[in-house]
Amino acid sequence: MLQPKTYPELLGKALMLDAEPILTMMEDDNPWVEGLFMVTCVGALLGGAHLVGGLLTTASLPPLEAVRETALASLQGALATTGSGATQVDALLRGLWGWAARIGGLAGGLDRLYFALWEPVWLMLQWLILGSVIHAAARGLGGRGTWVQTLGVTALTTAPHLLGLLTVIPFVAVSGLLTTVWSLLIAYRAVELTHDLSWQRAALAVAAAPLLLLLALGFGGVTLLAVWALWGGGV
Amino acid sequence: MNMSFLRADGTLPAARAAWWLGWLPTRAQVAAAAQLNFARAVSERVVSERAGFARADAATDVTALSMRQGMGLVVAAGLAAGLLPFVVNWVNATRAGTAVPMLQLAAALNPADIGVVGASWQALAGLPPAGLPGWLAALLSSLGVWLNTPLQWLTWWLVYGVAVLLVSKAWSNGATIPRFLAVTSYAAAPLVLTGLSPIPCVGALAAGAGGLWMLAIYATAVRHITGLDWPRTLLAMIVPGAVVGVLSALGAIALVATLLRLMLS
Repeated sequence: MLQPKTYPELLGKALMLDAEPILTMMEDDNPWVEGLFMVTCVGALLGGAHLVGGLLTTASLPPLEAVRETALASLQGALATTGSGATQVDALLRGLWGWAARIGGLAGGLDRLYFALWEPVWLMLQWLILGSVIHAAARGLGGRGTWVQTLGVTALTTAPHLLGLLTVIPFVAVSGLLTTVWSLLIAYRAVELTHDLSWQRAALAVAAAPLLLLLALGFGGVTLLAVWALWGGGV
Repeated sequence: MNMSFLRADGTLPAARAAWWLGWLPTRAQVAAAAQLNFARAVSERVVSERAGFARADAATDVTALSMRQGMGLVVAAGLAAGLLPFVVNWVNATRAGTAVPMLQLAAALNPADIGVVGASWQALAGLPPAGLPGWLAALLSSLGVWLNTPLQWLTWWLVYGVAVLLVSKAWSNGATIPRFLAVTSYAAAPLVLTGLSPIPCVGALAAGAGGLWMLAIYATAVRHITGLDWPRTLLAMIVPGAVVGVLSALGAIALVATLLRLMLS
C-alpha cells in the first residue's frame, strides 16, 4: 500500500545511509509500485522547482536576447582570430545556445513546461535502468534479492536529487557529481542489505551501472567517429 | 541545576536536548577536533567505559558523531563562511540594481584591456533585470550564490571522502562510510575563516590559515578513523587527487591534440 506520508522520513534517512528505509522498502507488500510512486513524486517536485527557478532566473537577468547576442559576439570575436568560418560558427552557436537555454530552464513558452514535465520521466528512466543493471550485476555476483525488491530499494537513490529543490532560488547550482556519488552510495548500501553481499561485491554490483554507461558512451563515440570518417569528414 | 523529575507512571522523562544536537556536534567536540585531540577523546571514552560508566560521554568524544551531525556541520560551516560574502554581494548588487553574476562579470572585465566585446559585456551588466526590481534580483541572486558555498563543500566532503576511504580500504577495513564521513566533517570547521576573504589582506591570510588547518584536521581524522600510519594516511589523501589530476591532464592533452589536428587539416 502506498505510504506517501512516510517518504520525507524514508528519503531523509536514506541520505544518511541508514538501513531502516532500505529494510522498510524491502518489506513493503509491493516495493516496485511504492518505488515508482516515490520516484514520480520526487520528479514532480524537482520539475516544479526547475520551472519556478527558471522563471525567477530569467526575470533576474537582463533580457535574454541581449545576453545571447553579446555572448555570441564575444565567441565570434574570439574565433575570428583562429580564422574559422564565421557563418557556420554562428549557426552552431545559436543552436547550442537554444539547447543550453532549454536545459537550463531559461527558454520561454512551452519549452519551459516541457522540460519541467520531462524531469519525472527522466528520473524514472534513470531509476529503472539503474535498478535493473544493479539487480542483474548483484544476482551475477551471488545476490539473493528479487527484482521488485531491488527496484523498491533503488528508488531511495532519488533522495540526493531532492537537493535540486534549492534551484528554486536563482543561481543555485547543485553539482551532478554530488547527486550521482550520493545516489551510488545509497544504492551500494541498498544492494549490500537486499542481496546480502559483502561490501566488495556490493560495490562491484553498483559500479556496473556507471561502467556500462562509460562503455556505451565510448562505443557510441567510436561509432560516431567511424561514421563521420566513412561519410567523408576525415578526407 | 538539574531539574529531573519522575513522571506519574514512575518513568523518567526523555533527556531534554537542544534540537540542533541532532544535526550538529557539540562545541566541545568541535573544539577537541580543532585542537587535533582525537586520541585524547577516544582514550577518555575507554577509561570511562572501563571505570564502569555505561554511557561514553558523547558530548566530548570527537568520534561519537552521526553522519547527520557531520553533514550539519559542513552545511553550517559553509553558511557561516558565506555570510560575509553574501552581505557584501547583496549590498553591491543592490547598489548596482542587478544580479550578482552580472556584477561579478562586469567586475572581472578590466577596463584597460577589454576591447569592444568586453565593453558590450559591461554595458549588458548595467542593464536592469528583465522581470524583477533590481533590489529583489540582487537579494535572490546573493542568496543563490550564498547557498552554493555549502553545496560545494558538501560535494568535496562526500566525493573526496569516499575516494579517500576507498584508497584506505587497501590497507585498513576499519571504517564504514557514514562513520568516516562523520568524523572527517570536522575539517569543515576551520574553513569558516575563508569567509573573511572579502577583507583586504587579512582575508587572504585567514583563508590560507583555514586551508592549512583544515588539512591538518582532515589528516588526523583519517588517521584515527582508519587506524593507518602517517605515510599511508597521507598517501590515501593524495592518491585521489593525483588520479583526477592525471586523468584531467590526459583529457586536456587529447582535447588539445584533436583541436590542433582539426585546425591544421
